Amino acid sequence: MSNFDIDFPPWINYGNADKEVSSKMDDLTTREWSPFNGQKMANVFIFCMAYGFAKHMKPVKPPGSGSMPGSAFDAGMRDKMKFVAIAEKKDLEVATQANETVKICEGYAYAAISEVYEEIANCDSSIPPETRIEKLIQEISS
Amino acid sequence: MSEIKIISVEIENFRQYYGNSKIDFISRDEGFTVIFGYNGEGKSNFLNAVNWCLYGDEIHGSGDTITDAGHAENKTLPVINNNCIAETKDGTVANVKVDVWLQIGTTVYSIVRTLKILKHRIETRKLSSGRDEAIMVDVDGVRVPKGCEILETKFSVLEKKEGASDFSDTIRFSAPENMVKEILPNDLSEYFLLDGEFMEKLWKSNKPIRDGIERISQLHLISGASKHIQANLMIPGKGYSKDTNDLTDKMRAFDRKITSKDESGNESFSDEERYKVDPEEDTVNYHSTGEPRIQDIDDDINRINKRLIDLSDEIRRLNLSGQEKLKEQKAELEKKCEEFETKYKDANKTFLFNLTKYGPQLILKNAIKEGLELIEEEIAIGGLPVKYKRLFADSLLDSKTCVCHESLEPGDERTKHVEKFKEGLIGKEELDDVALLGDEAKRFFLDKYDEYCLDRFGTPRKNVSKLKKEYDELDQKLAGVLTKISSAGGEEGETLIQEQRDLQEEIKKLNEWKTDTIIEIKDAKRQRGDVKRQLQKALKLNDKAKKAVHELKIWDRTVILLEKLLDSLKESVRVNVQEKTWENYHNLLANPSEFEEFSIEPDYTVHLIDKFGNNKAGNLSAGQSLLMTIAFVAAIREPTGYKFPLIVDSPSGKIDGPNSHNIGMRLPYFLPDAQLTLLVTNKEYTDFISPVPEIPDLPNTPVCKLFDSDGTCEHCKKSFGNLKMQHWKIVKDRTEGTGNSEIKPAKLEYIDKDESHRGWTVIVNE
Repeated sequence: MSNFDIDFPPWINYGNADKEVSSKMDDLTTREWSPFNGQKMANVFIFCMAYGFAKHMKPVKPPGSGSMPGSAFDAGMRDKMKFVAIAEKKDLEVATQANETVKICEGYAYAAISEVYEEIANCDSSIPPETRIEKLIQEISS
Repeated sequence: MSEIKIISVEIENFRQYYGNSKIDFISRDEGFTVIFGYNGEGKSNFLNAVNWCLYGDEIHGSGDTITDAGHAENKTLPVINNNCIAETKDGTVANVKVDVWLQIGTTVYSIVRTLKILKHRIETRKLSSGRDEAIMVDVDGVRVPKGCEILETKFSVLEKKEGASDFSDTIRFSAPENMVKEILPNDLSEYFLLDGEFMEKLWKSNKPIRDGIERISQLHLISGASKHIQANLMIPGKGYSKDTNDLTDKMRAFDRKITSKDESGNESFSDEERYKVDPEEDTVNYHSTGEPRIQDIDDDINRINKRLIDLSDEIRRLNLSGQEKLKEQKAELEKKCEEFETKYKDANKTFLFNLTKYGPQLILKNAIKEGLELIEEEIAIGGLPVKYKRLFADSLLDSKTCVCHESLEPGDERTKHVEKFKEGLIGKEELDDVALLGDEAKRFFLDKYDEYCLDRFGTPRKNVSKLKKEYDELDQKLAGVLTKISSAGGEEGETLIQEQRDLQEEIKKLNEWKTDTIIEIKDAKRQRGDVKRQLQKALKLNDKAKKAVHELKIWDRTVILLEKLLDSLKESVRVNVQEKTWENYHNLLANPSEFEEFSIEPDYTVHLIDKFGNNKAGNLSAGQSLLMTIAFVAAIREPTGYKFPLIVDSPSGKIDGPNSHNIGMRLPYFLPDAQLTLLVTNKEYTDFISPVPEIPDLPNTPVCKLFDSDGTCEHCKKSFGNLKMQHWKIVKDRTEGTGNSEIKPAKLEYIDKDESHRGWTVIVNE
């Protein structure tokens, strides 16, 4: 296990203290229309983080303390977090500092979650969840 | 038992028989008695009259229903003749009477049932047309117009011994019913008063087969004796000791359980209601326990099976067999749809998971590229991997030579620089992980971006679309089948099919219940055996009980012998009836090669195997069923020696030309010792037999002439009947429009008026 993993915070903050965000996170993980329905919050977090970074949003420090267990973030997720941190800081060393990396990623995720929610939730009800998220991914990554 | 003969039947004011009609019957040695009548003139009511006289009920016309408050729907006429009741003045009495004379050996019996009806003002109701309709009511089981009163029902059996000049009231039986029961038991009546409807349905259930074989063979007497001994004589009386008394009580308790009796010896019933074919039927409950409950279950299974056959007919009639196929298609499509829906949902789940899991990787493609560039720059300048930098420093220090070829001696300023460089690398090793991360991102993501996208998104998406398309196609097919179903059988068909399903479920449930009951009985019998052994042991210790123990042993042996005897007789009668029925059927059937084997199994299920190996016993045509029943009824008489007369209503009503010819040829030689009376219509007796294209040389000779002609038939090479027939004709009064009928002596005559009025008929003697 690397130091990065050892130092990885036990709790990650997506903005649970922000009631509006908390409610959106609940919707995203429990509603039929959401592609994240039935999935863990960490998946939403990573998606929002990527979205926020790709859209050059201004990171915002989420209020309160962490509420998602760090163990919910697997190696693949942590790698993505590292890339975001590197690209943000234009420095490789940040990818060895778990706290700093997490802090950067929390900022992007919190900044993006409301917009991601709006994009996904405010669709015609006939549009299936996979189409909603696929469209979103194509838009940002093109 | 001596042969039973019907000497005469006298009918007075019974249904459409107005006044008095009397028929004398000839014996078999003299020929057949033929009662000829057109449809609706009263043939079946003649059979009803005989049945009513003997047993007080009518077998034909059971479709009548009684609505609330005892009001009957006027589907049939009252038991008393309409004309007779109309002519009877208010406040006076009218009689209905049927008198049947039977001869057994040299003794003649007169069985008379009389009904005295006191007429008051007949009540009517207005129909929408303005006409009045008489209201019918059931009084003590007799259908009469409302306003009539049953004054007296009299049933008597009179006996005239050989040589006696007159009848004397019999003193042999305390009740005349018992005497009739002995001569012609009611439960066997359907085997000698043969109703066409009964004959058609005989093979659709095991019960008549079992009853026919066991009851007519009198085997029930042996099984009854065995049961009686077991229930009453194989348990010692009380009074020897408290222990033996207790054990006797226990045995009796087990017996009660096995025979479904309560402590007072009355039949015990459960709360569960038995199956009703008609919801209006009286509610009957299942016996609480034991063998009677199994009998109830068996009877209900039979009744349900019968109903299922009727339902199949109704469904077929409604042309719902096609709908059944559609239902099968529907079930198959529903199953497939379900399968594809699951497959589609699973595939979609995978696709969705990939989108959420690997989608961020696509979104971060630029960030990853950027990070990779930084890593590559670092590698290019030698900043990475850190491990190599440390190895490089170590090699310099080990070789004590710097890159500039100067020596690196310990303590030198130059050496200190290299050592500081090496120390500076501590904690930076993790950058090597970042380099590795970049390498993996390059090799597995950026360099194979298209493949990455295809594996994680393209292929799963394609898979989802394919499955969705297949699912939609199946769904469309299903919708099409559903539309066809809803337009095919309508609500009535749906109800019938639902009833069919419910009944199949019910049979399954009953069979399970039967198995449980059999286990319960076995258990009770085993426990009873244990108690019996304990009781015998206890009785042996008691001097007073020695005689009882000895008697018990005798009864034990008797029961074993009776059971063995019963089994062996049952088996021999069954095999005998089976062989005889098959032989008779072969003789009666015009085309016997259609069937290859007939068997009555030990559980009384009937198997009639056709040349394709299918059992057609439950699916016989009406004609085949009639012939089979005649064959069976003839067969059950022979091993049993029970010689009752046969009155057959419509023996060939639903039989085709070739089979009518065959019956006409065979019947005179059939049952040579049975007095035979036929109730026939012109169609089955005097009309020329209809030709069939397959047998162009089939003669059209009517059945009546096949019976009485002499010589040999050129078509089938069999001998004609050369039989004498005594004819009677039911004559309906068509002039007055009263619907009254009379039975008059008649004869067979050839009419030759003109081209269209040529042929045989039965006419009243002048």
